[in-house]
Amino acid sequence: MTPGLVLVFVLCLLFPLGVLAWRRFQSGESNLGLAAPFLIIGGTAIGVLVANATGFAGPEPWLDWQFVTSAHSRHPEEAGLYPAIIGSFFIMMVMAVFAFPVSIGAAIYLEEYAPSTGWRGRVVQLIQVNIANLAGVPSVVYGLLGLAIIARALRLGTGAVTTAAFTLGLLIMPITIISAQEAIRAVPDEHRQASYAMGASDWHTLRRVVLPEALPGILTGTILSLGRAIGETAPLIMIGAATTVYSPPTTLNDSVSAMPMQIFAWAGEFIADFRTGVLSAGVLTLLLAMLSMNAVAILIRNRYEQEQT
Amino acid sequence: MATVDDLTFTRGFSAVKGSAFRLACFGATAFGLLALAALLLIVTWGALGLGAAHPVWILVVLTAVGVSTGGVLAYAGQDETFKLAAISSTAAIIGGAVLGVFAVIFLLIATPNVWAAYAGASILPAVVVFLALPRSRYRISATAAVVVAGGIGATFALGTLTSIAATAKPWLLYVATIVVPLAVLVWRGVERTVGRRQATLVAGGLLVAGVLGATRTR
Repeated sequence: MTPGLVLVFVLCLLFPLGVLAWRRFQSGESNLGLAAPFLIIGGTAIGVLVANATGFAGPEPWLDWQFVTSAHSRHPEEAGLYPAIIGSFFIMMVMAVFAFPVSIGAAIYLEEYAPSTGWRGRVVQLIQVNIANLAGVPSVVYGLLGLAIIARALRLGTGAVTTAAFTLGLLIMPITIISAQEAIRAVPDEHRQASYAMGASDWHTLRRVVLPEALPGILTGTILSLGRAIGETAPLIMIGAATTVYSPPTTLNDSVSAMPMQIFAWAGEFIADFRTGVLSAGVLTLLLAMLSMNAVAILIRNRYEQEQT
Repeated sequence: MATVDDLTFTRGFSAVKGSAFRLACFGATAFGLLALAALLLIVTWGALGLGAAHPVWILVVLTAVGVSTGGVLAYAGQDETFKLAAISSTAAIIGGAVLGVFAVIFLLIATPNVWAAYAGASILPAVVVFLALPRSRYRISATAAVVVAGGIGATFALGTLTSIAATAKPWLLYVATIVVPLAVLVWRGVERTVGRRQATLVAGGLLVAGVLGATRTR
């Protein structure tokens, strides 16, 4: 990591806390509670210092700064997950740009505009049933679809960032559509009627009434589906993603690996340390990424719910 | 809302069935939690290499973690404001870490020069327009128009802009395109509420910390 990137990371890390502290300060609330996580971290750090001072043997961690900033190595103590972490998040970003607008657009159309009667209504029902079925299709089937259509027919290349992103995007689209539909459906009809009674158009009602109320549910669904996609392995194997790469992807056409792929590769290594320590460090990194995403989803939902009440 | 409450009157076999069902639900919850806890424990034990540590070392650290966490929880139990702030700040730190990872990866892919080209052509002018039109009804639309126009302009002049950006060090580009606009926005926000002197102190502190942070981590 270059100094500039460390600076950006620290700014992003402290920015939400700064905004929170400022808002609490403005509303006259006590900021004492903001110190709670630092008290726990500080207490733990003091504990580690005291434990080291006792002279007893300490742990030999596999998950350290070197692990998250180095590429895979033949030596377990030098192995790292850096290219796979970058690969996973790169795939997530491209996937989000492609899949979420399409999914949310589809959900809005199906809930707000699609006909519900006549032969068109029956077609819409058929589409709804198919979306529900697609949500249950095994991920390996999406991998086959990605290989046949995205990698070969569209010639985006096997194992490339775009192929992986589009394949995983297809995988999460049904889940995102269904969760967004549920969120939009949960908006009471009375609110729409009240908006129309005030003279608002369809578009105004959707933009000013329905979407703001449905947003917490939509965002929760999308972030949870990101959490699902980041842990997927089968579709990536099918589209020919590399199990190990030594440098992170920098363009959309670069060969990419992802955290689960690298973990899978370590599970088959001959040296025992790879299968125990390095593997555990990789799994813990992946779990932390997923749990953080879920935590952000909960945070966003709570924040919007508080604003609405 | 809980289905079973003080107003539920059941006796005999029905009460037994209800209790059995409640126990089954509790068992399912406990099983799920224990399974997840066991998974996390095994993985954390291996990842942190705790197998190599002496039991006394682990005991000392666990005591410190327990005392600090217990202390915070005990205080939070007595003070609802503290509790809410503690939850919010923990969530903010986690959210900030996720945001930071995404931002770093975005900048790693975009490269400092390309980022500086787009930021210089669209984001910085947009901040200026946003601050220059504090009460105008066109504030948001004018800012958005500057972002779009700047982005299009930067795309056409990308070669020239990146070659200009290449003359500066990457950390300086990040300071100029991220820390400086952020410090200006912070100054503007704080100045309105608590005055110019405090705003200058906060924004200046942010600027100095950003420059020092970027230069000292080299």
